[in-house]
Amino acid sequence: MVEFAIKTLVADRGKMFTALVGVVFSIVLVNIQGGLFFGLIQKASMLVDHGRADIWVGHKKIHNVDFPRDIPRRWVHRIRTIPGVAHAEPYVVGVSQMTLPSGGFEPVFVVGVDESTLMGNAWNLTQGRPEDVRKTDGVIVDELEDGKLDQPAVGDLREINGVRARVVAKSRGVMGFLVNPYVFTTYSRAVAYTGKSPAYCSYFLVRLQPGVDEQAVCRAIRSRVPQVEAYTRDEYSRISVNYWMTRTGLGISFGAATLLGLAVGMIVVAQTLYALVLDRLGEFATLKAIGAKEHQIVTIVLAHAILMALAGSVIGLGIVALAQRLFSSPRAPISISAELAFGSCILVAVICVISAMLPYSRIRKVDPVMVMR
Amino acid sequence: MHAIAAIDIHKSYRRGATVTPVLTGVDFRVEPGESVFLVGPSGSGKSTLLSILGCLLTADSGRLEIFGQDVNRLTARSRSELRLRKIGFVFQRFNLIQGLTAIDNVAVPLRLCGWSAGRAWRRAAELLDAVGLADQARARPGCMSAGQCQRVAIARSLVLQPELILADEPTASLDADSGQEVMALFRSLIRQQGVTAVVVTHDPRIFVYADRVCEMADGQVRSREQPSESGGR
Repeated sequence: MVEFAIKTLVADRGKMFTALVGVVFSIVLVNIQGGLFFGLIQKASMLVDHGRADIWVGHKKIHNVDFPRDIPRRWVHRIRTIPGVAHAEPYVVGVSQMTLPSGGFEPVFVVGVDESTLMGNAWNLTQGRPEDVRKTDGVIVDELEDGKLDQPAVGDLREINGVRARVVAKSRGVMGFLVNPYVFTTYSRAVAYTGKSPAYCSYFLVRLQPGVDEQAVCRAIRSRVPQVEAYTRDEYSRISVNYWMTRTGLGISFGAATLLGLAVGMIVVAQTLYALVLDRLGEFATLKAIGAKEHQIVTIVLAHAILMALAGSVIGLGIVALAQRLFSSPRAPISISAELAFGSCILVAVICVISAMLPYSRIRKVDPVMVMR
Repeated sequence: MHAIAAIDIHKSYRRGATVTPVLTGVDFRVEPGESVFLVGPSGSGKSTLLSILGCLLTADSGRLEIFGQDVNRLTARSRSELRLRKIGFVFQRFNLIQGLTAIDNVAVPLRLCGWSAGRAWRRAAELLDAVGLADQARARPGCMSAGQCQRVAIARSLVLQPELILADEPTASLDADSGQEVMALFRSLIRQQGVTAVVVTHDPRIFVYADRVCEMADGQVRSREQPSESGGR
């Protein structure tokens, strides 16, 4: 019956093409919208995802990596004594202003890393090396933020909070969820750039010894220093993402646009399947008259729907891959995971099958005796 | 055992409060291998009786046996099975599947029976050869003449070697020559296979292909005449 469905579907190329457009439209829209959403939302946890720390320790009420609350730096010594901890270093994230040669200024997120381990430093460098941040007044900025920072070249000077800063390296694509550029430097300079007290920091970044249970160490940290919260990298990444998801309605707006596109595509598919069936009611009546059973008729209708979902998914994913190659950039990344691509195909297939039930209900009512009239 | 034994069949159609009796106590028997033509004016109930014989319609009352099987006792699913395995249909407008080639159309009943594609194609090719359309196996109905389409429909009706063929105005959509050719072929094939046939027709020119002609009038079936010997040609 599947072979029968393929042949009858292919024979009506006009309708098949129309239905395919609907499926392709839905697949492309879900993946591009979803990819843009995930690309954007992943920026919210960039520092955590690339920070090389196994555990992030911060104020009891931390909820977003970019908005920490200061904690006493001296607590790091207590954390270092916990069994399983290999390193624990203070880490600073704070807001400041960079003065530009043009006389303008730009709010920046200053990130201060431990000078010895450089844990949480900038990544994906295109000019300079990570350890250059140790150089006098050294800062690392992202080349995609050049426009905001008056095109700084390596070696150029800027001022942050009235303190000298020299660009020693540049990264590419290290851009946060907010519009403010990241400036990476050492802990001691970050304290000066942000005007914080050297006795305080934003986080402790913890590296564990191999094979140690992360959750057990988190519990030990909370027990040893009750004023802090400790999260694994994955947990804090998720918390940072959820902050923007739940507080901005970003997920709802992207999701609504995606669902709308999905609905439009599926209405096209349902309408086309219905038209296909209406055109062929006589043929379905003939099949029933010569002895086709209900499950065989269902198989044909479902096969039509699944075939269109399959063909549309393959074409749609091809277009998505091309669009991703052409339009994805660090500023607006289109991040399409295998789960998203596969999930969208399953979703579209399920909706195609549901859409096919409408025409099937029409076929069910067809009386085979109509072939005699 | 009769091939068909329809006893005291009644059938009425309702439209709102109006009840129109169509069959009023039809008694109709067909012997195995016999070819019976049903004739009569429009509205006399020929197609209704054919639909009941083909298990497409249920009589309001009466008893119907097809090769000894009491049709009234069958479920809808069993009736489908009976139609598929024991009854072949030839329709006035051929009722071929437009998206399928001639060979695919002939293979449809086989595929519905669960035959593999290859085996079904081989059997369908034999039937197409038998109806003289071996060279049209890949043609779609839209590319064939009416006579060719009806020959494909005849091949489809015979492909599962049914015991009974029901044909509804098989020549109505054909010109005179094509009608004669198709009926000669039809007669020859059902004779070869020993199939029982009931043919509804308005066309007196094809009565010669019948073993018996019955006339329907006033909701009853009456034997009319014995066709000439040339009917067996």
